[in-house]
Amino acid sequence: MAERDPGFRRIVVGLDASPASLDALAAAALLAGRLRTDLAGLFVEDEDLLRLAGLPFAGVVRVPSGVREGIDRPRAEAELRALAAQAREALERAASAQRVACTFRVARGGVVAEVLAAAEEADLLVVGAGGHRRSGTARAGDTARAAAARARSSVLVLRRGGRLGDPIVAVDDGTPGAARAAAVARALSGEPGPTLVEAPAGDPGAVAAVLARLRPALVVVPAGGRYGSGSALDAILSAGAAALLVR
Amino acid sequence: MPVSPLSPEALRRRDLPAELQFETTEELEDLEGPLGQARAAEALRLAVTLRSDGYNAYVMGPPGAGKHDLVARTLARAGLEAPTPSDWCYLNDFAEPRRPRAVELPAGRAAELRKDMDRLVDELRAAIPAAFESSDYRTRTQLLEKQLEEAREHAIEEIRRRAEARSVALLRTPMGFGFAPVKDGSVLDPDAFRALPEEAQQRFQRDIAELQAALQETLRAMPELERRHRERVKETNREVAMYAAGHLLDDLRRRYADLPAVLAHLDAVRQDVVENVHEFLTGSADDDAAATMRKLLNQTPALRRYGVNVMVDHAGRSGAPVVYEDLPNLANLAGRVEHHAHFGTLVTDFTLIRPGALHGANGGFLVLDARKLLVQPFAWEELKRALRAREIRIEPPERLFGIGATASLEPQPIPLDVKVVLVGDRWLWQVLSAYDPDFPQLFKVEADFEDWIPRSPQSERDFARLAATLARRDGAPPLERAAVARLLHEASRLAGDAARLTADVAAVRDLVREAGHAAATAGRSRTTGEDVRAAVHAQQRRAGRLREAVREEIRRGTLVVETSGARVGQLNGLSVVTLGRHGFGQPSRISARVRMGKGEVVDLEREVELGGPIHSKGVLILGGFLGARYARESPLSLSASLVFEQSYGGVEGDSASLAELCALLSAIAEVPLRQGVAVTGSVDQLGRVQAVGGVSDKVEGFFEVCRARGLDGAQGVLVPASNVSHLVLRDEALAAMAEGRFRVWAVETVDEAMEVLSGLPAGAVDADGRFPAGSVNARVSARLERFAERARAFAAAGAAPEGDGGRRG
Repeated sequence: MAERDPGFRRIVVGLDASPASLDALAAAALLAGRLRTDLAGLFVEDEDLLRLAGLPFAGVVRVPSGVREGIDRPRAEAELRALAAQAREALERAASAQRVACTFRVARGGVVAEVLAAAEEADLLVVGAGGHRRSGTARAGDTARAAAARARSSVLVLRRGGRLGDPIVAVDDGTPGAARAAAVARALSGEPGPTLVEAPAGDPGAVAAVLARLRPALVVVPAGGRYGSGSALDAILSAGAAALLVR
Repeated sequence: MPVSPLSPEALRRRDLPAELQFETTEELEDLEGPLGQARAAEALRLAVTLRSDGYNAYVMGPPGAGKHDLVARTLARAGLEAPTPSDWCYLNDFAEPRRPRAVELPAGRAAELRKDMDRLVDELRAAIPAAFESSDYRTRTQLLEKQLEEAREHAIEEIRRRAEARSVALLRTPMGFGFAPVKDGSVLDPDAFRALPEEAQQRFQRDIAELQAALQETLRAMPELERRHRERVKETNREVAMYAAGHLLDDLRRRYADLPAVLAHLDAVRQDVVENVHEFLTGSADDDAAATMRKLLNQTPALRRYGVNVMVDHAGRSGAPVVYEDLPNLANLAGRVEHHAHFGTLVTDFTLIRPGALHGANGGFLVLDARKLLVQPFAWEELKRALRAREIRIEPPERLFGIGATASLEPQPIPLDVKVVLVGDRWLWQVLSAYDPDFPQLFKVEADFEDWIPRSPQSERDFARLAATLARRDGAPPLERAAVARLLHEASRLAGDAARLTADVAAVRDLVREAGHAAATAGRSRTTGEDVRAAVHAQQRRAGRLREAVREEIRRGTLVVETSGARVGQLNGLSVVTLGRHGFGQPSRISARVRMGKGEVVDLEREVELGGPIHSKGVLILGGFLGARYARESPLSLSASLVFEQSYGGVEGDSASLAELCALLSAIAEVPLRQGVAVTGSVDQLGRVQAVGGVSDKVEGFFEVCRARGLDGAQGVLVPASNVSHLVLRDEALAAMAEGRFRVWAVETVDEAMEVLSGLPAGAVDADGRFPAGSVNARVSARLERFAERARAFAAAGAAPEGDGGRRG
C-alpha cells in the first residue's frame, strides 16, 4: 500500500471477540501500523443482555447446538468480562505486532449507541460485519448496518475472513463524497492503484457485476451516497470484499 | 635291458597343422563361441529353446573358460529371435490404493500412457481452476451461498417476527440467542418486569418458553439445511469438473480404445477427478505459509495418483531382453517399494514401486552369478518362489521375516515368463543338487564346461582363430604363425598335457594381450613368437619370487640337494609348489635308513603329522611291496625310516613313493644311487610305476637346479612312462636334452628305475625264487635274509631283537 495519507488519525475498532471482529481488529491494526496512528478498542457490555439475565426465567439458546441454558446476571457479567478480556488481549497482541499504541475501553449500554458514540471521536470506525452469527458471510449485522448509516466517521466493515489489501475498487456514484472516496482508495492502494467504477443511477446491478468480475479485497464508497445503504453494503460483502464507507 | 633316455624329438614342440596356412592371424576369421565347448553350448541351446517349466540352466566350469561369454552370445542370439515382451506398469487402484494394479500394455505403450497421463494432469490443473474461476461458476455458487444465508436468516427472522408479535425481542448475544420482553422498543429490566401483573408475567414466560422451543427446532434443522447446501455445491462442482475434464479424458479414451484395462482406469480417473476436484483448486490466490503448506500437502497426492509407474518399458526394442544382474539382492531381483519422507513421516504410494531384474528380464533371459545370488539374504528363495509361481510379487523383506506390521503396499503380482541362467562353480552345483530339492526341478539343464580340449588339427585351427579373435577384440597386434604355435604350446603346458589344450581362455587372452603389448611397445605391428616367449617368461618372473628364493637357497647349500655323485639311501624327489595360477618344481632330498626290526616302514612325516593321508598310503604300499617280493616265506625283519629332509611344511600326495622306494631299496641293498637323477612317480604294491601330476614343472625344476650348477651330461629326471604324453617342456630344457646334457627317462617299474639310478641290473627272480647274483634285488634279498637270521638268533637266545645300531643302512 502506498504511504499516502487517507486522513485517518484515530482508529476505533469495535470488539466483541467474535471471529469477524477479530478480522476487523487485524485490519484496523494493519492500518494503524501503516499510518502510525494509535488504535482504540471498544468492548460494549450489552445492556439488553444484562437486563435479560436479570429476568426470573432468563435463558439462552446456544448456537449451533440449540441447547437451552438458564442464565442469571452474575453469570452473564462473568461471561461478558471473559469476552472483554479476550478482546483486550487480542487488541494488545495485534497492536504490539504492528508496533502501535493502543487503548481499550469497556462501555456498558446499547451496542449500537455505544459504537456510534465512539465513532464521534474517531476518524475511522472498524467493525466486523456479522457479530456472533453462525456464518461469516453476506449480510451485515445490526451494528455494522447502523454504523454504516449513522456514524460520524468513516466506517470499515469486514466480513469474517476479510482482509485489507489489493485489488481495491473505488465507486464513483456521482455524489460529492466520491472524490474523497477515490482519494482514500488511492491512499490505501498499491500499484497500479485502485480501479474506479462509475455507478450509474438506477442500475444497482451494474456495480455488483463489476465486483463479481474484479473480485476486489476492498471497496471504497462515499458514505452518504447510494452505496452507503444497507443493501449496497450486503452486495459488497457478498462479493467477498471489505467495505469502506468514507466520510 | 636298461632303460634309454627319451629322445628329445619325442618331446619337441608340435607345429601347426600344415593345411592351416596363414602369415598372421589377421587372415583368420573370428571363432564363434568358446573353444571346444560343444557340450556346454549344446546344453545352453536346449535351455533357451525349450520353453517348458524348469528348463533353466546352471552353467559351470573352470574359471576363464568363457562361461559368461558363451551365455551372453547364446542369449543375445536367442533374444533377437524371440518376440518382444509386453510393457508393464502400475496404476493406482482408486478403490484400494494399498493394492496398485499391474497393467500389461503392448511394447512401447506404457511410456506413452505415462506421458499422456502426465499431460492430462497438467491440463486438468489448468482447465479445472479456469472452469471454477469462471463468472458462471461464481454466480452459481454465490447464489447457493445466498440461498443458504437467506434460508438461515429467514428461519431466524420467522422466530423474530413471532417474538415481536408477542412483544418479545430476539437478542443475539455472545452466549447465544435470548428472548426478552420489550416495551417501547426496549428490553424490560427485571424491576419493570416484576411490576407487571402476574398474568402478564406468566404470559411472557409462556411465550418465551414456546419461542425458545421453536428456536431450538429451527437450529436443529440447520445442519440439514447446510448438508443440502453442501450437496448442491458439490453437484455444481461435479458438473463443472466434468465439463472441464470430460473432453480431455474422452480424447484419451479414443487413443486407448484397444486397451480395456486402460479404459477402465480412465473411467476410474474421471470418477476420482470429479470427486476430488478441490485438489486441483488449492492455493490459487493464497501466498502465505499456511496456504503453501496446504498446497504442498494436497498437491502431491493429486499429482501422483493419476500417474503411471512404468515398470518395464520395451519401447524401441526388437526381441526379448537379456538382463545380467551384478548385485542380485532381493530388491534388485524382485523390485521394492520405496518410501520418502513427507513432513516427518515415511510414506509410499504406487509410484514408488521400483522394478527388479525379474521385471526387466520378463519375457526374456536373466543371467545371475550363483555365488553372488546365494550370499544375498532371501534372494535365492525369492527367485525359486517366483519361478515356481510364475509371478513376480514384491514383498518387503520384513514381511518375509514374518515380522512386518507396518502398512505398506501390496502391488498386484506380475506374471513371470523368464529363463534364468546361473553361472557358477561346480562344487556349488553339487551342493545345491545335494541339499536343495528345488534346485534339480528348477534348473534342469547343466551346461558343464570342459577343463581341457583334446588337441587335434581341428582344435588347433580353432585355437588359431581364437587367438585371432582375442587379438582383434583387445586391439592387440595380429599374431604371426610362430606366435600362435608358441601360444598353442603354452595352452598345452597350461593343460598339463601335450595332447590337450587348456580351456582357460582367460589365461590365453592374458598372454595375447601381454605379448601384443610387448610388440606394440617395441613398435612392431605383429606379435611374434619371441613376444609370446617373452610374455611367458615375464609372467614366470613376476610370479617367481619364491621360486628364485628356493633356488638361491639350494645354490648356497642351505637347502641340501646333491646333483652329482652317488649315495646310499638318498635320492632327489620332486614336488610342485603352486602359487595362484603359476607353479614350479622343486627337488627335495629323500633319505631312507634301515635296521633290523619288526617289518615296519616308518614314515617320519606321518609320525610328526606333517604327512597327508595319501602320502602315508604311498609309504604303506612300500611295506606291502617289500614283504611280497622279498619276504614271502620269512618274516620281514626290517625297520626302516623314510624322511623328506629339510621339509618343514606338510607333505601330501604319493608322487614321491617311487623315489622313497628307490631310496629304501638302496639303503637295504647298500647300493649307491646317482644323485644327478631326480625321481617322480608313484608305485603300486607290485612295483609298477604310475602317473603323477605336474611332471613338466618337476622336470624343469630339477633342470634349473642342475643348470645353475652346470650340466654334467649325466643328469636328468626319471618319470613314469605313462606321464610322457604329459610332458610339455620349455625351450631351454628341450635344447639341453637335444645336446645330450640333460636326460629324461621313462620307467614302467621300480626295477627299471633302480637300474637307471644304480647302474646295476635289477635282476629278475628265477624259478627257485632267487635273484641273479650281483643284481640289486639279490643284494636286497640277501640283506633282508641276514636281518631275518639274526632276528631268529636273538629270538632263540631269548633276547629282544636289537637294531644294527651305528651300522650304516
